[in-house]
Amino acid sequence: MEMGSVPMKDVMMTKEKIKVHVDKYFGDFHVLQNIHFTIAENEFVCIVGPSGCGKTVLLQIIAGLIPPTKGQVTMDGEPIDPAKQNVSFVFQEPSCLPWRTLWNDIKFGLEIKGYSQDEIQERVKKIIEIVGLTGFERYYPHQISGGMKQRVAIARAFVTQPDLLLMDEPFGHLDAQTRYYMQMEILRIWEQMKRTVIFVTNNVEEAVYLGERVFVLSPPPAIIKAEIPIKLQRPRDLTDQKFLSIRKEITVFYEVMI
Amino acid sequence: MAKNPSLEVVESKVAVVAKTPSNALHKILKHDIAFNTVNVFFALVLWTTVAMVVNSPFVPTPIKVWNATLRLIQFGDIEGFTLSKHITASIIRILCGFGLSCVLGIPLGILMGLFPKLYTRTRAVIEPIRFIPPIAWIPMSIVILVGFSRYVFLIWLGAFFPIWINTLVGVGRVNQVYMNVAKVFGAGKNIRVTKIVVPSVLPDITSGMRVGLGMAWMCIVAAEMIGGEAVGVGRLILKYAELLQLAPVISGMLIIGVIGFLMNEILLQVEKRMFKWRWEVSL
Repeated sequence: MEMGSVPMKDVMMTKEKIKVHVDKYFGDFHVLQNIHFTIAENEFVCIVGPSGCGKTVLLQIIAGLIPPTKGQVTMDGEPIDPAKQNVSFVFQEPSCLPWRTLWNDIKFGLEIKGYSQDEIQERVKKIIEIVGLTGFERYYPHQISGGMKQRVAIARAFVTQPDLLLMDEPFGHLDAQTRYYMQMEILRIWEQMKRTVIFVTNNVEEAVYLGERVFVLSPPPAIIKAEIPIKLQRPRDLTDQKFLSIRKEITVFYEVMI
Repeated sequence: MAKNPSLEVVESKVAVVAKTPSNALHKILKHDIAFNTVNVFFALVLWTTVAMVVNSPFVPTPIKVWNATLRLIQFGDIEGFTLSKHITASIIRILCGFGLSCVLGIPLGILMGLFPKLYTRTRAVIEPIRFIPPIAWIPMSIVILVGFSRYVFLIWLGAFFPIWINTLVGVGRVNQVYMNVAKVFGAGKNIRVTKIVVPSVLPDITSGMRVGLGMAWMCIVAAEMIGGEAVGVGRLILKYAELLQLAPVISGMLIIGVIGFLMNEILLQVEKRMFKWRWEVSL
């Protein structure tokens, strides 16, 4: 159970950013049981677990969207509050605002946070280049493909330069090829803009490919079944022996759970 | 930015596909106008046939109605009021009653949608009123109201509920993911209402307005029955009904239908322009 002790040493060397210690019930249904971990600044953490294990609930609690039943989430020592802290979220469901053009959608967060027009102009232009959507600024969501919509959502999340970026199975709806492309994209953006990222997925390969650490959740009441540091060189090779053995190691936890 | 050339190709294809629907829509529209013209003609032929078969003075042919309409335009009705006076009077009344329905129905719908308790705790008062036919209000409005307010009240009764209900239901259906998008960026309740709820509900509001407009015109005869003034298309119908002259009655009926149709078309055009972001605008 206490597998966290080993990699924790590395983490402690850098600044501790996020501290989570929560329990969550929906009525009598115990979803999250004594989930606790810390995340270092600019770390990329992946959370995997079987479908319905409460990954999304955990992420929404970390974002401050729903309150935990017990415990709390802190960022830089302060209880998390999206109104005070700079958090971004990429949702699992399509989340482009249908009435906004791509440009206006991406600037949504900056608009709410009250940035100046010049600043908005500059930042949005830059992020649109980074995610490769130049030329589509005036398109509405219904006019672009699913992969492009998800890139809009990612651009919108990154453009506010969040202290914490939460991603909830952001590539779940994409086909395999686009998904692979998006994984490379997200790493490229992360390497350029270094942010603290928590990435939820049910795809073990994706987690091992992206994360610096991978948490494995059990079915509800969910606990952190394992915490695996991934110390592979980037860009990672999906067919590399080490990669495959880590992937297998994590997959074993899935089998134990069933 | 061409990191992955194959993906770029896919994108430009998407862009092309996205542009075609407006052209396709244009073609269908052209087709529709042609079909509608032909169908109006068929309806007139059918009407003429029925009138000739029945052969009664109370079932006038389209030509008799047309002549009656021309007489109304030129010489006015039995009291000398011309058709344009009738139409102007009715349109003003409709716009006032309908306008009041919008002014009350939209904010009230949004408010009750945002605070559902306002609705769930008052529905035993509001809902029964919705089912009372406007005509049933005639005696009460004669007693309580005077003059112009009678018209406005009866038309308001018809138009208010569709607008209010559509807005209310629309607020309840706002996609929670969009609300969460705003929340994560730290948007307070006011910003969430103006930037998420209102744009989400606008299509529901306009479709409620179109239903409401139809209801408004359906109440015009009832309203002008008690309004006291001798002008108005509804009044015109009542005048000639008493005289058992059916040609001008049908003329008045058709005028209501055509004006309602035109107003609806105007609303539809506004809607199409406002909601370019929607894939299709419902009928």
